[in-house]
Amino acid sequence: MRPSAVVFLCGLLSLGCDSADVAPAPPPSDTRGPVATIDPALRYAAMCASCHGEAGEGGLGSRLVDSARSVEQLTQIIDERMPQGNPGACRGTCASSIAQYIKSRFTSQALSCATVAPSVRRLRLLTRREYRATVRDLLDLPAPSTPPTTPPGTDPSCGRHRFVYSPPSAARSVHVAGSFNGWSPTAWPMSWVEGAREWQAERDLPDGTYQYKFVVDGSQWVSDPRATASMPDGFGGQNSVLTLRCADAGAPAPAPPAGVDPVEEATRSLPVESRPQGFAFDDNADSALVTSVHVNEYLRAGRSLTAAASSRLRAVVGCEASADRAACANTLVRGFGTRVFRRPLSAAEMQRYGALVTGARDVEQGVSRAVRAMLLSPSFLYRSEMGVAQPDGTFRLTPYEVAAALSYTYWGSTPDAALLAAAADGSLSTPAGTEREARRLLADPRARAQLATFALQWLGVETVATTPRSAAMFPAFTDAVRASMLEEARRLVTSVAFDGTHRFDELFTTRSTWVDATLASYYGLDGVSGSAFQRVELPEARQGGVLSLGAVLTRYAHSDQGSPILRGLFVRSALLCEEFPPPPPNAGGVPDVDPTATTRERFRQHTANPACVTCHRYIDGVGFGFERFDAVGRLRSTENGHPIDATGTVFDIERFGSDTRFDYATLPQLAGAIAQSEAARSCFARQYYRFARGFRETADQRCAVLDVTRRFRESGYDLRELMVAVTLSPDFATRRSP
Amino acid sequence: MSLSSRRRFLQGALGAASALPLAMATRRLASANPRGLARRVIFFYYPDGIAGRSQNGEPSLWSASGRAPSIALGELLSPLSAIAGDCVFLSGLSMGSTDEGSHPGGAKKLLTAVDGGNGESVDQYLARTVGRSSPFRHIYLGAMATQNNASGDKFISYPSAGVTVAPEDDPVSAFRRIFSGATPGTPATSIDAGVASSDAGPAAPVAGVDDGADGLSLDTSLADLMDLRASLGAAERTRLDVHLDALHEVQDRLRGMPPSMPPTMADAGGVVTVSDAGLRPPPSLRCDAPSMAFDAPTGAGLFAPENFPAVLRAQIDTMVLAMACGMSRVGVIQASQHTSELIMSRFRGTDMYDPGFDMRSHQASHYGARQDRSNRLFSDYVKQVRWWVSQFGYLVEQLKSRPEGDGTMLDHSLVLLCSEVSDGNTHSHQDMPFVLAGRGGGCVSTGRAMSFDGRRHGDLLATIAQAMGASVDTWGDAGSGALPGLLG
Repeated sequence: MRPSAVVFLCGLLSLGCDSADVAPAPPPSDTRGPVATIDPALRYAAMCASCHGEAGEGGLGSRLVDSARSVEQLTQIIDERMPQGNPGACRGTCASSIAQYIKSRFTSQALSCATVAPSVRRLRLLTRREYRATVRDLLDLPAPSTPPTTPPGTDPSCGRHRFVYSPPSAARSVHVAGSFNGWSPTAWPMSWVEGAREWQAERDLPDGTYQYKFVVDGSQWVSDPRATASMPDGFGGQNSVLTLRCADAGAPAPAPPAGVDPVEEATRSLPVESRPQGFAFDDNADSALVTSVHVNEYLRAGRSLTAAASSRLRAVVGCEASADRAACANTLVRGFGTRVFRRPLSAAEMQRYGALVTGARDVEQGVSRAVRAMLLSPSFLYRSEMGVAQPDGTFRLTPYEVAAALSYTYWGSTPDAALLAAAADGSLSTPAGTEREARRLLADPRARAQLATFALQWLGVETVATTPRSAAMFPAFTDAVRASMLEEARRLVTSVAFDGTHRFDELFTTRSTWVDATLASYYGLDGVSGSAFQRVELPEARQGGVLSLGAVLTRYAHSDQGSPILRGLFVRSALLCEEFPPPPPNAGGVPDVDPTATTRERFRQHTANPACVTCHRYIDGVGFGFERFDAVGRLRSTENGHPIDATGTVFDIERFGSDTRFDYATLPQLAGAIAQSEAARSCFARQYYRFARGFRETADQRCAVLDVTRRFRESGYDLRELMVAVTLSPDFATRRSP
Repeated sequence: MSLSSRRRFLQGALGAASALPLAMATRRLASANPRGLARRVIFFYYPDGIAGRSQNGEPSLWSASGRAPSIALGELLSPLSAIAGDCVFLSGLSMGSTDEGSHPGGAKKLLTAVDGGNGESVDQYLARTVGRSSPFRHIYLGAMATQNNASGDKFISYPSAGVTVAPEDDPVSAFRRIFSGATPGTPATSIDAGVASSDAGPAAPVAGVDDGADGLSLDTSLADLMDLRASLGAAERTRLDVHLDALHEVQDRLRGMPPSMPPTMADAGGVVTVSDAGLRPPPSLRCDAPSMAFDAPTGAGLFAPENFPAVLRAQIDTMVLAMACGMSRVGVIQASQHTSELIMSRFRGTDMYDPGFDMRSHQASHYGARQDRSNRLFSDYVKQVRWWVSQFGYLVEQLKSRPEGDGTMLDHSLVLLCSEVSDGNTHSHQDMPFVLAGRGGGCVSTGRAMSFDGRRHGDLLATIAQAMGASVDTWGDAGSGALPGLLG
């Protein structure tokens, strides 16, 4: 059949159509109702709680507990006047659903915390990072060793490389692009060195083998004439090859060449998580859907991962010695199967997966098929927090579900053998057993990496790796600096939690930070060399704990200027858990860069204009405290020739309407106030609760969060005790149906 | 090919095997309705609105009046003058007042027409109804749409109420997923055994590849999912419907059809080739071995603003190629994200280019109360919106340049240009900027400006759904039915 006869179904263009012609199309084969209507509890938490209190207890706004107003009256008030500063944001059904919610839930009895409401039972889809960590553990595909760190005092050229290029004719720009920077033609600019008559770029590079080229004037790709090795680039040209190895005999083996990590490669195209507005973390269960793109990528990942692990796959699943398929099937579904599903398989599942092995050509193929199939199973992809029904109508997590909750909370990965054993022998059925395992997991180095993951998401700084900054204004802000800033943030938080005082306030009051030579020289700190991170004391102007982290200062800025608004909002939302409505229409954007004025002067209209001051008195007075730092985290003492004014005032630090003010002269003073603030401490507990539990708490979780906060307080605000407290909370192992 | 050059030649290996679902899809469609329906719809989104009616009351620069060939286009729409006859310029449509003044509030309503995004979006609905027999029910491509770990409210596609999915921001991944089908000579059971970025053309069968494994994996996964669903309450079960649909879709794709069917559509259009110079080789599209070249980077480079035009171009081309080859009937292209920090002054070769100054999209959109040409924010904002409109124009022209049946692809398509607010400074949700291009298989008579004062934009979405053959009377909140006179 000719395509033209089949493919073009729309008929003659002149036919036209009207709705009647169109109607005969087949009705949808299924009708999907709303999967999750937007919860009025979530809307209340996001739009109302910051003024009216989480459970209606009142604050800047009126108290709503046991309200004398009718649902209709409340609806009308919300519809016409709420939220403050942005009326109209919640009309009609939005207003009435919140009014009903307030009337039905906000009672003095609920406020008393006599009982702790369980959260909704959920299936939690593995995030990309959890998926990667899990398959590394299951298939024995460890992450490539981290770049060797050079102890201080050794050859400073170790771990660095200088690229040099002399073009045959004048060039306007030269960049170096290669396997170390994703072949970005713009990421690594070179600088013209007039004295040497050549283009140069010096970069931190871990030991390894790299391919690269120079990009001249943005479009011309040329190989390095001075390279000692090269290989075909697939276009008839040659890539230059660079092999770096520190001369030190004692140096660790070179890292594998970039781009060969099979797990990274197999999972590169997994879809990005969709994070709900105001939820900082990647693990929100309610917004994780498996689309066909996911299925496609899961299949692809399963195929690549089993291929990458093929040489030891039989050993991994326990079939090394099994000569026949039946024996292997039996072993695989009982041993490896339990690890993949984080629980023993049901009889039907054993049959299902066993048949993949017995029905295969040979053991080899059977193992590969079973592993690939398991990696696509919902029992692998979701970690279950569904629980089993209890007589009182609630649900209780099984010991295996508890095991997974512990391991993903503290390690971001699948339970180890000891944890599965604890699930099997019943030790995880008691709070004491749960606590014992929690403490064991926290003592493992993996807990550090997981806390670092939390820290970067809590601070919102993961994107510092790619967020654009003006290269013209900030040439020193290189990719190496970006990477080192992220490592600084990880080290600061984990060292406080695991090595330092363990206390929350040290996150803000520490006088030191962690830098490598790249970051030290970028910050203007002396005495640091090499690529190893080390702890350094900071001059007073740079102190402030997490507030003065390069990554935080850079993240809360625009491409060409620091932003007191973004920085103030960061403190009020990420650190104090306050929510602000979006700026009203006609608010105007960022004031233009003015070469004659300071940033602070440009933003003065906020506090001069009564329409702005309602919110901005809370935001700007905090944000101005960061004015000594530019858009890329460097200290400055003047701006456009004017001295910097970094003093400020924090209004109502504990709660909107608490009517307090704190005046500060320096960022460390501001940080000190946050460190001592009850609001900041309980906010931190709340943020960790969100991360650990994978949902945004509402008034229903108020009592559970209060319980976690109480344990945190009783420990003297010990960060490790907070992490344990989340799994000791009375709502940790109980659930309800939606 | 190694990652040795930024220019990447992507070659799919659909082969006989994967060309088959296409033929199957078109047959089913043909039997569904013989005439007068749009074969495909593409929603093209860009951020931060237009220079609409200003706070001071100056008239919108987004205007159109008259009929082709003498249609008059205002400043923002004039980049479409060459194809004005292929468009309907809609004015007066309202998104209602809820969340008015908010970018996220607008983005949530844009394709759902439901306040707060508390409903399925029309693209997802069409994908799982009239689009469900296509190999890919839904294709959602982005350009820097996931930048800065964008929160979910930045995405416009809602598979279920209140929940968005993220678009694919990497053209290489998108192309691979869509076109790297089974390699010739192997059974149609492995969807992308051929790796996309291969300069050797279709990959040879790889030793040790187990072609049956993907199908078996899908079977067991479905069985496990059905077991899991059975243990859930009704409210929880619907959550897994998206997952279930997804497994079925991939299973259908994998099963394909018998290998005796000939590859088709070799005459349907041209190879999609992107280059800054705009040079393109003569048409020789082969859906059994599609190929594409583009200057898009990978990794962190995907989020470098200077690369944005190349990334967006590649995504448009991928979408057109996918549609030309019958891989899908429903597409969404999301350029950037609302309240965009995209530095558009880094787009080389455009009138926005200024290496010495960072002009971001959202920043420019707050140009102030007046349309003041001497204000750089305003003048740059006008340039930015014109650039977005021209990108939509490129998409439309690509569809128009490919013959299909007795006309062009565009004759059988609907393409909607949209943004989440009207005036970027006031964040208005009234008089929303929409342009509908394409004749939808004869449903739509183009080359007109139409005003629908007081009607909700959900009525436009319902009209589009009807033109795609879906049985919907209204769409979203406060809908009152298809827009009169738009169809027919």
